[in-house]
Amino acid sequence: MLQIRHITKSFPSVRALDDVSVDFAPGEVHAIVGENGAGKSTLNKIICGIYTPDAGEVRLDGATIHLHAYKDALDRKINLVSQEIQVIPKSTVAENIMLDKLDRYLAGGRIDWRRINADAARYAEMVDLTAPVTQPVAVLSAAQKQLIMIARALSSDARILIMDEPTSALTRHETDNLLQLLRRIKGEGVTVIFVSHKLEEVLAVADRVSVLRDGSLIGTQPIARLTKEQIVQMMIGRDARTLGLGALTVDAGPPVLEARGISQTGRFHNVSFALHRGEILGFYGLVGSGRTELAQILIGEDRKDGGEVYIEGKRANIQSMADSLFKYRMGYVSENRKEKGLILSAPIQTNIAITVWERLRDRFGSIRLAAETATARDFMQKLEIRATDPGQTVGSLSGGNQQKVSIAKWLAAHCDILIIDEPTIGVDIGAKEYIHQLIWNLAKVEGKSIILISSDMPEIVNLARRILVFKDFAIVGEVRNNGENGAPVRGYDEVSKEIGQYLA
Amino acid sequence: MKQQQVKLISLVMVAVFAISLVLAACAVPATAPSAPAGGEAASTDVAAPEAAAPAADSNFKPVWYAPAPHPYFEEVRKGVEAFEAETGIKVEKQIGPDWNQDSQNQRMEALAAQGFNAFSVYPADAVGTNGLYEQLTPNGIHIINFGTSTAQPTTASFAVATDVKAAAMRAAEELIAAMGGKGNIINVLEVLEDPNTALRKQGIDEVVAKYPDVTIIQEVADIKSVEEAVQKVGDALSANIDKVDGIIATGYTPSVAIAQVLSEYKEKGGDRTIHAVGIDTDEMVMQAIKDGVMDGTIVQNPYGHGYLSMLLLQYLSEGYTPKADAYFVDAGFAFATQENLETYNNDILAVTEQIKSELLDKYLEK
Amino acid sequence: MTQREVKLLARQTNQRGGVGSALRGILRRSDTSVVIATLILFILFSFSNSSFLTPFNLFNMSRTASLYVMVALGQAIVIVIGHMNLSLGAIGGLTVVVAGWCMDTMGWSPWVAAPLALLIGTLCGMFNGFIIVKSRLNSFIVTLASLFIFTGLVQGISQGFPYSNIPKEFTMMGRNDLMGVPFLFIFVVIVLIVLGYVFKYRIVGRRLLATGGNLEAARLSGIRTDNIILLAHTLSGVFAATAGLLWVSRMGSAQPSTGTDWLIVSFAVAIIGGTALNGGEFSALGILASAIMLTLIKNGLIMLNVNVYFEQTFLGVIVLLAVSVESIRMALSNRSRRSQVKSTA
Repeated sequence: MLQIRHITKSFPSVRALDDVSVDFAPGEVHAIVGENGAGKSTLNKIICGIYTPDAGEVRLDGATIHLHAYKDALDRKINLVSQEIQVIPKSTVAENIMLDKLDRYLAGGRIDWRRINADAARYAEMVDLTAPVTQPVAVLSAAQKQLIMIARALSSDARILIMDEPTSALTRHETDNLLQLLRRIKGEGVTVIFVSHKLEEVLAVADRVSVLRDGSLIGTQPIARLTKEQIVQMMIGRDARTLGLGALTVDAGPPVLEARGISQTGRFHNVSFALHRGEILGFYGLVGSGRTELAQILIGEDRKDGGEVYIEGKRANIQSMADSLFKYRMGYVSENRKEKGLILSAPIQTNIAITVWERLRDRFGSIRLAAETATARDFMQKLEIRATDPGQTVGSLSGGNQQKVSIAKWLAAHCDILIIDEPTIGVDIGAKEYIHQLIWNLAKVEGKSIILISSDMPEIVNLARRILVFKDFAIVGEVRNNGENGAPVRGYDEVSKEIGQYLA
Repeated sequence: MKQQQVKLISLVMVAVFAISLVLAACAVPATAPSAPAGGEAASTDVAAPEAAAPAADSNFKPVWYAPAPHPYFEEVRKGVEAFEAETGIKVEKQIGPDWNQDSQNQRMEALAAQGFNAFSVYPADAVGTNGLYEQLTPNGIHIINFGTSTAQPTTASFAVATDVKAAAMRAAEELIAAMGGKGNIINVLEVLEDPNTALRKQGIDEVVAKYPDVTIIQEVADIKSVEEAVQKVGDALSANIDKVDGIIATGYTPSVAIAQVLSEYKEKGGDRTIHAVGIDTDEMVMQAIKDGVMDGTIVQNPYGHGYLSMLLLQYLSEGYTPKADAYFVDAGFAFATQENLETYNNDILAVTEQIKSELLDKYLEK
Repeated sequence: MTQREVKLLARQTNQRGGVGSALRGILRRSDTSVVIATLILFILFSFSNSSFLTPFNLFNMSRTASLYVMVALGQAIVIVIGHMNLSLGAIGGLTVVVAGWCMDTMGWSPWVAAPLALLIGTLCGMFNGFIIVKSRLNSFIVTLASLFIFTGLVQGISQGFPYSNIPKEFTMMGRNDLMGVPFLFIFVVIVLIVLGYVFKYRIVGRRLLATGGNLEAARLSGIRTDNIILLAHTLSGVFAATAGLLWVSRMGSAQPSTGTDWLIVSFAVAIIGGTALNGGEFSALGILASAIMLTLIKNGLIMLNVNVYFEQTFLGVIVLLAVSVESIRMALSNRSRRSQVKSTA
């Protein structure tokens, strides 16, 4: 029986856990859910001895235990399968599974590889890992590597097994198999602590669920008493809004942006589309289907071999993002905000004002710092960016807030056309909803013309009334859901089905 | 898009090659005037076929090799050219790109492969060069170190160089004499990795020990460039400005630095009398001596390093062998002061003549 | 309001004003530690040797530090964008040789020689930048190659000979002073102030920092990053050339070996001075302080008359002690932030 009592843990800028107490019973799968930054990972790391709590205690079978390193936890048969994949690429599957117990296989100063391979194969089979145990790990898929980590934990005869997002890299089949495995090992009296974003999995496998929000425990409940909606409500502190944002009137005049016959050798051939003022145009497709690649051509980051782009009816000559921004007021929110969208080491104000420094100069050409701060504050307020002040570095913000910053710089630049690429990847539920509302308002209230690129079906069906479906660098279909006054005429299921038909 | 990039890169490459070609073309006239021997000496590329012409010396194909451009080597080259003029023997003169043993190995091996069989070499590395020598000498190739010696034991036949310890002792004697036999000295040493530095220090310490009223109040070392030397000499002077009477340098860069720092000190109205002795004849040092800022400088015999080493190689090719125990050929040195500024060059030439006349008796046998 | 919002609000109000927050602000700056370390060293050496505070010594030290600053700037300006310039010293050397050749061999006036030499240095930097931008090769490789190219030119032109016929008026900058403060020092302080201003208030400075912070993000924010890279390398050439000319001015002769030992100094001063090795940060004050620190240590070692054969060991130990002030700063800074969080909870 593992109990944690009144655990509190602070980091320099945030209180990660605040007086949290939970009991974990033997033979149960105990799910821990919460938004990003709610404190799930911190809790895990305290149970594993990677962090020591500022206050409170961890008890095992009624006695207080003091863990100072992960090794202390391992000695007590507490094992962690971490979110990050930690394998040694050049070593074999067997070696990786038995990594922490190689010393048990010493025979006369040599490692008994035959015995290791035999034992490792047993655990590999348990987790449904089909790759031969003598194969180097480097050639395996992410899912297979994840399975190795799970097998490693199992081979340690863990009493308490903590799994932090174990299914994030797994396929559907592998996930089902893992959940089956968890049910089996809990039958052997093992406590499984299961952390996951995927509430379907939680509902399927957990016996009880504890919900964390902002470092505090909102409650622990048997799973049978909760619905998915109730869990979400506990996580974000209010009711989740249902899909459907209503009608979006689109300007009937000539298109704001029109692509005619765009071609790029080996990729695009004669691709055309039009974007109207106040419209949210969806680009749907799988990664690599040409959505982002077309956007790169539009903003001048990649060259086209044929075709023309017209903006406001005039032929546009865009050679770089600088042209796109300064000549045509077209902005691009990158799908990879950490690597391409933001300067993580720079403060919020730099990241927001970077597009508008020209405007913030005084008559001697110096940037007015006060104006820069004011601009940043303005958008922090408008977009509800949660940070202490505009001088805080962007790297220290949560994913959702980072995304808001990367949108804000284009709003500051008064961009009329916005290409928004995968706006809600790695963003938690509350922030995701907020960003959807924001994109909606940009089009509906401010009349911006938006191209929304997404592989998130509900997101694109919810926001866009016209969706271009991409496959193999071509637009294979256009799905319309705009009736009278731009109101949606069909439900989610019907629209998503039509999109699916084009992709098939 | 990719094609365009490839095009661009190739364009840049072409531009780079074009530039380097132009530079190479410029480099030829740059070297030509510095070779006073004129057309004959300038055409080093066709040296081998030409050298084959005088039948008498067909088995003597000498090379003079310096690792990198340096004013000292230009002086040595004059001695080599004098040898050429006197004997009519063509010497392949090469200066490498850097002070790197590896470059030296590659170039000298290439020369040996072309049939050159006598080398006068400034070793880039006192120990590393021996490895190269050990490969070359078994093939009947004679090698002589000039300027400095390789570490012992070595397969080089001779080293024609300055006796660094003797030179340091002479410098110290001259400085102490200028100071009137008493006072405080700053000793500026140069590169610590060079084993000669320890010899120079020993020489100075021995001389100073003879004078009870003279003390070394500060030693400075680990100097690899003039910039570093200026900084350290400046620091050492200011640390001791109230008690220093003399400063001595036994390396090139600190001598230049002393000339610079002391000239400036005097220029700015520094009132302490500081005697100074250096080594080598850099223009700044000679100017400082002329202006009375420095007392004198040790003048080495680079002409002799070049001339004598070539002469020894010729003797070796004629069948002479080094006498037992003969290895180090002291090329001598002179001391230049304000008084003999015009004449010290003759002094040093006389030293060369003197050594030349003794060469067969003292160092060689048949 | 959610709990988090309440906390944030409390933290925000707590941030404003007070000695505590001023102290925290100072602690948060990465150049604070090098300034403090320099001050400590200065005080220590002042007490340990009576010759230390003499005008002659201070004059010489400030000139050495000035040259260090100039050399470090040549490196810092490319480190800012996440690049490096290995050919820095060779550009300096080439400038020196060109200046020497013009004044000594050709007998031209310094007013012709200096601008011409500066132009050559600038072109060298531009050459680096151009190749890097067009070939998309790493700056390490490109400047390594150009290091050889420029070094070859230095040796080819000079044949290793120094140029000693430098007109007296050219040594003004390097040797003269304004009320005891060397012109050199005044010059670099002005350069640093200008750079500090540019990096904080001018668009071009901000773009340099942004490009160094994240090249892709900067380009996708409308910055013409190729131009910025070209600019940074050109400026690196300008600073290297300036350092070379200042050195000729101080020496009164043009030594072709100038610049051969700049590489380590340039990195040491720039990095200790708070220029982030992976780009995006620059501190004028930090560079000045670290240049002075390095000068102080080298000067101090001679003042203390340490054994010459072990000098480098002492140098290393003192540098290590001095930079460890940085780790103390980080610890204090973290603690102060933590206590701040606690007090608002």
